[in-house]
Amino acid sequence: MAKKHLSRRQFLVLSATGAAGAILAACSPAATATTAGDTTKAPEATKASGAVQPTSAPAAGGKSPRGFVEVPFLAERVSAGKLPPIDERLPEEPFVVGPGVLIQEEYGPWTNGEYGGQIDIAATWGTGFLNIAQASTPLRSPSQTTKASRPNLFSSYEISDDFTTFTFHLRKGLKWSDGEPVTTEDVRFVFEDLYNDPDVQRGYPTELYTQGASANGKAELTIADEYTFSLKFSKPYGMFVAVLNSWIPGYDILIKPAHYLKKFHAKYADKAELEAVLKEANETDWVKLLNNKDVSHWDTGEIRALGMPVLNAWVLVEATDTRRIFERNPYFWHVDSDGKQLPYIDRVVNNIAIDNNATLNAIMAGKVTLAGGNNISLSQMPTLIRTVEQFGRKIFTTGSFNFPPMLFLNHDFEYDKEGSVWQTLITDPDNRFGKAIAAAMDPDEVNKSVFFGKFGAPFMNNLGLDLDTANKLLDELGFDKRGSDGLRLGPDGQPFIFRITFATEAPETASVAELLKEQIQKAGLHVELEVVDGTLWDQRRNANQVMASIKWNDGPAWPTGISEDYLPNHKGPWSPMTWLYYTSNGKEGRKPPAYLQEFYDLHTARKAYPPESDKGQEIYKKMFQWMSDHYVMIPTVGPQVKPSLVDARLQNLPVEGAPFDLDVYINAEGYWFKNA
Amino acid sequence: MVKFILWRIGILIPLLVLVSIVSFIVIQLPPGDYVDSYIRNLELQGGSLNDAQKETLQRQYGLDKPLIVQYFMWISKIVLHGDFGNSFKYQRPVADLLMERIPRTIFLSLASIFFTWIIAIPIGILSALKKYTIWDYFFTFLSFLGLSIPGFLLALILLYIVFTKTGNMITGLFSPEYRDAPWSIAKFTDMLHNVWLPLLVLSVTGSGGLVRVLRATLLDELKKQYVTTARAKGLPEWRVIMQYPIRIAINPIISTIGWMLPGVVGGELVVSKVLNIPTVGPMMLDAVLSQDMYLAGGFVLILCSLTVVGTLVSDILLAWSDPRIRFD
Repeated sequence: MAKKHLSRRQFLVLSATGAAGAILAACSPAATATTAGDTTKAPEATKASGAVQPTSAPAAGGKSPRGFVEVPFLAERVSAGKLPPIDERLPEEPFVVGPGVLIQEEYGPWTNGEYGGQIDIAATWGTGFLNIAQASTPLRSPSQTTKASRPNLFSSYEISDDFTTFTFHLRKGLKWSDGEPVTTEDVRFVFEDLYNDPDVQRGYPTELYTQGASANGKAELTIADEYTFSLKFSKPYGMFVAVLNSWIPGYDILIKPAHYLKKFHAKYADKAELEAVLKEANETDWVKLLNNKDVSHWDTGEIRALGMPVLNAWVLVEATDTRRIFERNPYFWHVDSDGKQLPYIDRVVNNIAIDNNATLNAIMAGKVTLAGGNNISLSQMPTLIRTVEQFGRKIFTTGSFNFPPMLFLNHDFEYDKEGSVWQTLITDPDNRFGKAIAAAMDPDEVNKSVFFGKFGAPFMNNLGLDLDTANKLLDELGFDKRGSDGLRLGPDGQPFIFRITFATEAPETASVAELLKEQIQKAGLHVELEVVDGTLWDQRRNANQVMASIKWNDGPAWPTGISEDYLPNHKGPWSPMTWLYYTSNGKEGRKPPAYLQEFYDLHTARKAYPPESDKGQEIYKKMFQWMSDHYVMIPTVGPQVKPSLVDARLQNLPVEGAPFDLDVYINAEGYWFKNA
Repeated sequence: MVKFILWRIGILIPLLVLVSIVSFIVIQLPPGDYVDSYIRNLELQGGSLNDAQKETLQRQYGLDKPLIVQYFMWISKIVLHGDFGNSFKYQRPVADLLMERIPRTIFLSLASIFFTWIIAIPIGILSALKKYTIWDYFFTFLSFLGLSIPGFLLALILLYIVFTKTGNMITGLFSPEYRDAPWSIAKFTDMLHNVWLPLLVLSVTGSGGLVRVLRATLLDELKKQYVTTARAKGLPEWRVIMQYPIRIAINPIISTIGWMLPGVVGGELVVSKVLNIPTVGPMMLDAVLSQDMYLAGGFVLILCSLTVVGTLVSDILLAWSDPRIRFD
């Protein structure tokens, strides 16, 4: 064998040095923080510590010539000339926030606050469920209502008596978060160069069709001048008022920063500059780049949202894959009656957690200032209580935007199958099957076993446990014969299986499903639970392969029109094929039989009126009654109660027992730290 | 030897092609595509998309084209431009994303391997030398514990113990204050405060097997005649052990070095997820679950090539360290 040139000892020494070198290299500073080109970076004075750093009362003291108080966090930038003074940042008529504006007074008392502080959160993605940096809407009513409809982005607006024409006046002097003025050019760009541009082919939002139905045509935009525009619909569309108040569509279906997006649109961008930008983004198609950069309000916390001007209270300034930092929007047009510019809190820092357990860990370590919604649950209360003493937190409970799981019965299942047992059951004119199932369900048991007895009674189909009725009705329906296992046979003598298909998105869904199975089987019906993965469940649901399912939805928000997820295929499927027929204008799906058509008639009728008007309320009651009578969905237990965990020093929070946990996040612009 | 190396590297290309096809199919197998998981996530927050908007998104990610076309789009980007594409979820180049996380992952993996060896090798040797004594039983028990306790369970237990005893909760590799701060002594100390836990967990669970293997091979060697001869010739005991039997016993470890290469880069998934450490593992899990084709596929290809290269390296090392091994 040839003589080795490197002795064993030397090789070992070399590899050890090499490994040590690799470790050292891996530790070298990795410049991972990406910052925006345009938005201002945090001043050096702001330390990167997680502790709350409330600034003392503004040193400058006094008010500006217009009567506003400059923000200490921005004072340095203003004096350095990087930002205009507060008088020039606010529009001619700012939106004044006070008692009863963001939330009704009985649910959230208001006191004007002090500037300063930082909110730390640990969500699993950019903004998590937080709506903290998402909440700007064209109109604003307190909490999740739609009646007050105060003009938010607008200084005023008019609605024609027949609810077909909406005219809006933008606030003069309203600016994007980078200082550019908001004008009707931003609206025109959206409609002409995004929705109607044949190259961009942006999907048209459902809410902008007349009455939300594509068959009725799109909204017609008319630009009167730099600050005035109007939308005309072909039929009365009072429901549009709810759309304008809702954080679900947000402001970005109407208005986007045209000056920023034009840089990526081939019609407006300088050819050479567009090429350069495309190259930098590793992209060849400008449409893809445009869609990428045009970030919807749901994604305001994503890394690609850096640099996009917004109208929210906080703007993303730093984004890495483990952390997002939002800073106050210097041009946010909400003020309080003392002349202070909202938000009071200067920064929101999100230390991204890998999953909900990591969020809980972060809470337990005292690193979270605000948590609620779907980030924590009642079952975690015993552990969360410790943080009250240890870190000065406060825990309170509110009602929830989301109901606990509901049982959905699919009226379209097997509609095209001859002699389907299910169809004969579900089309029973007296709805006895639905009644029987509802009578077999025991909301009290579910409440006590899964939800600590904290939830109330169901808001719909509230029969309570009544096994006798259940048994009687099932006997009447032809289930009187029993098989060898003691469970009921169908009317045709064959074993009948009541199959519930669901995906586990919340830990409680599985527990509730198990309880439901036991309860319904007590009435003798053979129940099968089928758990599938999320995307598979979506496919099955859309393909009408689901007989019954369990899913949560936004029940409490239906009356005000903020949420419409009672629709036949929005959350749980109770009639996916007729819904397909409705949305495809008759091309696909199942033509609704008479009794289902009643629902669609009510649905269309409701669209004509603002949801909280008298007529709107009247139609909603009828529709709600229809859904109850036909047992399309049956609540498994009463409305939810959700905990929220906050720093005890925060003020202007919703009170214990307020109706919506979501408000805890949405109203964050008004929170302030009280340092006694 | 050179021919052998060339042949092994040559076979990398067809192997990669095969792997790319298989991984593409497997990642696309779950029903739906990335847009479906995006919509799911959106619905959890209360939003929804109508069909037209969904189609826009699908066009955006090229998911409206047939699978074959998508595959060729992906592969041609890699082969012709060396570009792994942009991750759907993060909307950034895959290469950038990986480059951010891989150094962290390598550091953690190498450190844990280092500690595993430091713990396991002396213990294994000691255990073999002091066969059937109290030390042997003690270390055997410990190594069985290390083998049988799942890493994530140990991590959770330790996390809990640390929290209840000291009130200190370890929330990741760095405390929030230091996460994106530039490197400094303070940041390094903070990291040491947090990193000892995953290192301990990974080393303890990893060393169990190593101790047993080392002990077994060493015992085999110690029975052999050349050891007796060496002792008879008057060699000091430590040289008898260290110079020859240990070298043979190290063989199994060297042959697994090859697998270390993909393992070190791939990182440890479950423990990282439990301890909230932002290594490559959790990011890959998310990518595969949400069918983020470019990110997941790109990473699988990288791991595959590393595996082949690593196996090659380990074969060479083995041949070099053990003269008994030949290439034919």
